[in-house]
Amino acid sequence: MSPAKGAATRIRLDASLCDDEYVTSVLIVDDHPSFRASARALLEAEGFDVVGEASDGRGAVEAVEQLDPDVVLLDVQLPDLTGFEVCSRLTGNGKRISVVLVSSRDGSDYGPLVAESGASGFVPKAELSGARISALLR
Amino acid sequence: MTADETSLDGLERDAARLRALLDAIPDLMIRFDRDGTYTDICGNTSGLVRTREEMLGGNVRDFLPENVVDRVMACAARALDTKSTQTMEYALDVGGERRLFEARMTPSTGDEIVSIVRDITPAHRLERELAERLREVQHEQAFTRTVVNTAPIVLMLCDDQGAIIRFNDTTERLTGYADDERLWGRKVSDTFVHPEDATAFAQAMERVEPGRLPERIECRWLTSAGDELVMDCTINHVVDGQGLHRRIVAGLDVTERERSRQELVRQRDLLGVVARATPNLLFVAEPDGRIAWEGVNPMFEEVTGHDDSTACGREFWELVVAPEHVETVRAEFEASVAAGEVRYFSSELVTQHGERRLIDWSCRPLVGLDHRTKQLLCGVDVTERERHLREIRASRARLVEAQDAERRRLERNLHDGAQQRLVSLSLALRLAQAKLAADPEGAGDILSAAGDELALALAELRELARGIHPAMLTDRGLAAAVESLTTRAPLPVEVRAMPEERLPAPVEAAVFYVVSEALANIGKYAQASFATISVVTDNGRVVVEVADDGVGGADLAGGTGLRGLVDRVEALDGRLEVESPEGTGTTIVAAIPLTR
Repeated sequence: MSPAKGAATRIRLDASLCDDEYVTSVLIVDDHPSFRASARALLEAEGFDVVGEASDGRGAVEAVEQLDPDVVLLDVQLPDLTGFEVCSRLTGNGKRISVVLVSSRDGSDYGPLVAESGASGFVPKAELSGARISALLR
Repeated sequence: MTADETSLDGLERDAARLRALLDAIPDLMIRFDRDGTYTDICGNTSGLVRTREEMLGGNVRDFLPENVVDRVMACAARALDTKSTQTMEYALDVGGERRLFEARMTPSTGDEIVSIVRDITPAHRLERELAERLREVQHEQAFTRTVVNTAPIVLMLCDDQGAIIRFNDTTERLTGYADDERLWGRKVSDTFVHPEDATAFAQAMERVEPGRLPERIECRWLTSAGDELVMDCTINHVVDGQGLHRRIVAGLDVTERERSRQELVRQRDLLGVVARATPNLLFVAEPDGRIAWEGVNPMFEEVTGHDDSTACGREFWELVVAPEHVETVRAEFEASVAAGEVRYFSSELVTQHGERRLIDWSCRPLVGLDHRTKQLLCGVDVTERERHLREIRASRARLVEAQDAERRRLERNLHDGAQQRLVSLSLALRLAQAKLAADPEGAGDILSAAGDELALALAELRELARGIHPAMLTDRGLAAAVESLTTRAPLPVEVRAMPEERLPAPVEAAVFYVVSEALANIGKYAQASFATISVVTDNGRVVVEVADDGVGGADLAGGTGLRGLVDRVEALDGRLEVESPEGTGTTIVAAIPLTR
C-alpha cells in the first residue's frame, strides 16, 4: 500500500526546543483495516498526528521515506515481511526514527526478538494508548 | 590102569587144565583163608602191591592199608557166611599210581575164599570221561536252547520242502502261533508270510541249496491276530543230527525300523512339497558359498531364472544378491558358517526381469543328507511389506502434518478474526471512555459500533468452534450433523440412507468428514446441480457414498483434501475410492470397519 494520500509534508521542529507545541507524528502499519481505524481514532483523540497508514512491510518502508514520521506503530505479523525485519530496515544506519511494535499476541511470545529489533518498545494491541507510546519515547 | 587110576589121572588132567586156564585169565586170582592168610596167588599179578613170592604165606593185614583190610575181611566173611559171591571195589596205590580194583569173592572149600581181582582203573576213567562229556553236551544243548529261544530273532527249522519242523519262542511271541503239531508240516510261506509275498518267499526257499549262499528276503508276515510284520529273513541250508537236509529260516522283525524309514520318507516328501510350495527362496549352500547339490526351489527359479542345472556349484551371491550387497552378505554367511549359528540379514536382489526386490535372509547350519554341515538359506521377499510400511509411515506423517496445518489454520483464523475484533473492541471502549465526558454523543456512536463488532466476533468464534469439531455430531449423531452440512451446502443434496443407530465415535467422525470434504469439493470444483449422500452399515462396516452430477475429473493425487480423507479412513483400516470420469460426475465411496 502506498502512503496515504493527502498527508502534508511537514517540517519537524526539534522536540527539545518547543516541548509543549510539538505534535508527534505517527505512521500506523497493520494489515487489519479495523485495527488501523481504531488506533487512528484513539491516538488522534490523545493528540497524536496520524500522518499515514500502511498495510504491509514494503508499504511501511515507502511511507516512512515519504512521510518521515516521528513514530511508526508497527504490527509484528504482516503479510510480506515480519515486523522485526521492517523495524531493522527502518532503524538501520542510525536513522532517527522510533518504532513501537504492536501485536495481538503477548510480548513474551516473541522472546528476545523485540529487544534485538532496534524498536523502542512493544505494546499489546489491546493495551494501546497514547500514554503507552509517549512513555516508550521518553 | 584101574578105574581109580583112571579117575585120578582124569582129575589131575582137569586140575592142570584149570591151572592153565587160571594162568591165562587176564585177572588176578587170590586165595586166602578166613583169617586172611594168602594160600595162592596167580593170574595177572601186575596189580599186586608186592611180588607174589613175598606175599604167599603172608597175611592180608601185612600188605594192604588198614581201611582196605577191614572192608576186604568183611566182604570175605560175608561170602563165607552167605556162601555166595560178594563184590567190592577198593583203591590202592600201586607203583606210585592210584588204581581202582574190583574183587569178586567166592567161598571155596573149607574157609577158603577165591577172590578174582580186576583192575578197573581204565574202565572207570572212561566212564567218568563219558559222564563229563555227556554233561558238557547237555549244557551245550541247554545253552543253545536258551540262545535260540531268547534271541530276538525268529528261528525256524524246516524240511527241504519248506515245511515247518519246529520254531523258537521268539517266533511264538512275535506271531502268536504255538510251536506244536497244528503247524508242524505246514509250509512257512503259507503259514506266516503275507499272501502277497508268499510266492516270493517260497521261491527263495526253493533256491536254497547246499554250497550256495543263504537266501535273503524282506517280506511281510501276518500274526495270528492279523497284524502285519515286516521281516528281514535269511534262509540257510543245514544238515541235522540224522544227516537230513533241512532249512533254517532266521527272521529279524524290522517293522519299527521300516515304519520309521517310511515316516522319514513321508517327512522328506512333505518337506519337499513345502519347499516347492513356499513363496520363499530356499536353497542349500556349501560352507564356501557354492549352491549344493540339494539345489534350489521353484521360487528361486522363478525369481532368478536359474534352476538346479545352472545354479548348483555357483556362489549364491552371484545369483541372488545385488552387486553392492555382496560383500555384506558374504560376511554374514561366513560368520554363520564359522559360529555354527543362525544369522539374519537383508539384501537386495535383481530378478531375471531386472526388478529390484528386498529380501530378508536367514542362514542356518544344516546337517545335510551326506552328514556334512551345509547352510540352509531362506529368503523372504519383503519388498511389498516394506512398501506398505513406507506408505503407513507416510500416511502417519501426513496425518500429523494435516493436524499441524489445521492448528495453524485455526490459530490464523482466531488471530485474524475474533482476536482482531476483540482488540478493536478494546480500543473502541477505551476511546469511548475518553470521550464520555467531553463528547457523550460521539462516545455513544463508538459504543454502538463496538456492539456490532462484538456480534461479529461472536459469530466468527461460533463458526470456528464448529470447524474444530462439529458439536452436532457429538450431541445428536451423524444424521443431524450431515443434515446441518446439507442445509449449508450451495446445491440441493439428497440424503438417501442414514443408519439410525450411533456408530463408534471415530467412525462417525470419519464419515462426517468424508461427507463434509466431499460437499466442499463439490461446491468448489464440481459445477454440479445435484448431490446425493448414502450411509449404510453392512456386514460389520459402514459404507458412505457421496455422488454428484458435475464435471468429474477429481483425482486422489490432486489435492491434499482427498489425500487427507484417505489417510483418515485408512487409519481406521478402511478404504476410500474415488470414481470420477471426465464429464459424468464424481462418486466417493469409503468403507470403514465398525470394530477394529
